[in-house]
Amino acid sequence: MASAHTEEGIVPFDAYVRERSERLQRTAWLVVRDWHDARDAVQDALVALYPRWDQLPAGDRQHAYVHRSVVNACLTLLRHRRTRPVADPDALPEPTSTPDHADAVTDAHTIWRWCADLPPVQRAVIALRYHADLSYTDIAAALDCREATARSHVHRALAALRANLTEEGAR
Amino acid sequence: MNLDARITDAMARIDREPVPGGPLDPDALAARASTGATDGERANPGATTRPIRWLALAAAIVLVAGVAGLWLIRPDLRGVPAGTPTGTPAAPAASGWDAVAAHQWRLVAIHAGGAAQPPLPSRTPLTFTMNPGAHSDAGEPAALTYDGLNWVTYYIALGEGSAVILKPGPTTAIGTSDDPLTARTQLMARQFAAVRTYEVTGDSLVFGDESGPLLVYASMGPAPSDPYEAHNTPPPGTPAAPTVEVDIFSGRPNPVVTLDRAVAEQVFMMVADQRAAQESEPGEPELGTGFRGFLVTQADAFVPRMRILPHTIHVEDPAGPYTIRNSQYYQMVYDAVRPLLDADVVAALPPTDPPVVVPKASMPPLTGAPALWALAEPDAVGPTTTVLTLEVMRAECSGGVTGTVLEPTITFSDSEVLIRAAVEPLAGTAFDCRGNPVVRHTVTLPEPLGERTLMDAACLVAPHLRTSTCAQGATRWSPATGPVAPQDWPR
Repeated sequence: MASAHTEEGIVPFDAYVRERSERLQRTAWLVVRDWHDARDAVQDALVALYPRWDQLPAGDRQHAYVHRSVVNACLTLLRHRRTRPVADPDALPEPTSTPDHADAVTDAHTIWRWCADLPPVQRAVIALRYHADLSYTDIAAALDCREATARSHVHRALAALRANLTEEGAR
Repeated sequence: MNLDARITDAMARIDREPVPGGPLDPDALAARASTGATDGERANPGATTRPIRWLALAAAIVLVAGVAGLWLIRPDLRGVPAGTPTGTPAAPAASGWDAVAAHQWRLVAIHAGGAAQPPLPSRTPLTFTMNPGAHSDAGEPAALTYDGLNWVTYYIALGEGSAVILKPGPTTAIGTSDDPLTARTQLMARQFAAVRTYEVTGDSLVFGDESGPLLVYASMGPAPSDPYEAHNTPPPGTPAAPTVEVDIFSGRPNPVVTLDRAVAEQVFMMVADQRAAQESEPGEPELGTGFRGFLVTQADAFVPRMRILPHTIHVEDPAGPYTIRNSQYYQMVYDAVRPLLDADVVAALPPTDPPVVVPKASMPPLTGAPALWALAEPDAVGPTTTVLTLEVMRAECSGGVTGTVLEPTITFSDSEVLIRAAVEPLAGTAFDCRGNPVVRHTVTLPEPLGERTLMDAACLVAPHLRTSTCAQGATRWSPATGPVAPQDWPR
């Protein structure tokens, strides 16, 4: 079967996977910090969603729903690999941009490292907020929590990152 | 560059990183979903090093597919009458009021003061029924309500002689002056009172007034034939029932029992609310020997495990453990699990405040709908009494009907006589919570009362244990004090 559904207002499964699976893997990578696990998590989420794809809400809520499944799969993976280091610096991608942008790339690398030190849920909200570009309402839906709780997670994550920034400035 | 900009930039740069393996193959994913087989798409090394996991996943997919298939083709197994629309959540196929009544709903937004406020998280489904010509207090609340978790009957006056009744099913009534839900409950009550219109669009239901939406609900799938069933049959996708492990033993397994979903939801909601209200503090409990708490576990990625001690609840949040000081959590779980535990375990649990009386006599079984009772002629009761005249009152909301009183069940010990009253269950589910009348009923004891305490057994167990009627305890007569009237008893 090439397509899971044809319901109006919902991006078909085929198109969604082709268009968004790479971006979803990047979002997942920001949470699990391992490309293989990120791919596993996204596959698990999409396989689980496939049978009820035509029942997903339409529009932005569809993305929130998919992200919820992906984040859920990421957190499940993290729970299963508690004995492995979550923030393995070797798992970080090497900078691939041109030397002209070396500083910016190093800066991005630093931010990713700081994010790697956050607890999984805070890492997830940063990925959803800044990479998936979800609203707080959608983050709350993705995490199945209240919007205030989602804001609180983001606030705490930013506070932790800001502490790193302050420390960096002091050096 | 400020932090926000640096994060945004870093996130944008991740999009320039190549993804090993590239985009996924939708056909391979679809095939995997359909067959449960490992797909050729998964070429990553991690997959080959975790064969057991994939076997388990495949088995789980087959099992889920089987259960889902059975769920779809055998509606009788889930209490849904043949012909009822299936699929969850599904856009209501009916229109107008039929679409409202045909579905279970979950509150997703409360509009107040021009802004939408998020509700507390809940998976408890609600149903609505239209009751033409029903009793209505002009839209005034008949009882407190909060998203299906309190003892609810609520009228929304929609037109001349018609009223919508919100009826989520039997739950535990928990409402005190310091209840963290109270403010929101009052807001809900005000919003319900203002409702004048409703509209079903797709899978959304919006109650509103002339100025716009007031309460917004999302469909949770088809309504069960009996709204009470919704309480015990959660919609597909709901995690398995939460469990409570009584952490008390060393050297042998702790007892584990299932926790009533409504109680668990109430616990989770109160934690979320108190957490949001910044009534928590970071930290973990210091555990000694003996009772180390009720461990509440919900098979849900977003509900962390909770350890409940008599005056605190400790949440094992992955983002950092935290503690909330509140004795209600212990009371709620204690009341819910006590009847399920062995007597030696119950005896070892710390008492609640106020303590629950544990009678020596066995608890009489409930034979119909629950009822409470008082002595109709208290001054006539004494040690030689064998005939008692009871005033029996239906305990549930029933629209002001107590109905037929069934023969009460009586149990004895050498120090107590327990009487559990019951009334005939009523047909239908949509009732308001007017006070129910008392009905006189004569009971003949198989032997004289003697020097034993006479108790209303309903006041010894949840959900009536902590109601105002039982606030003074279960005793209705004792040789030491004589007759004791229940609090707030209608005269």
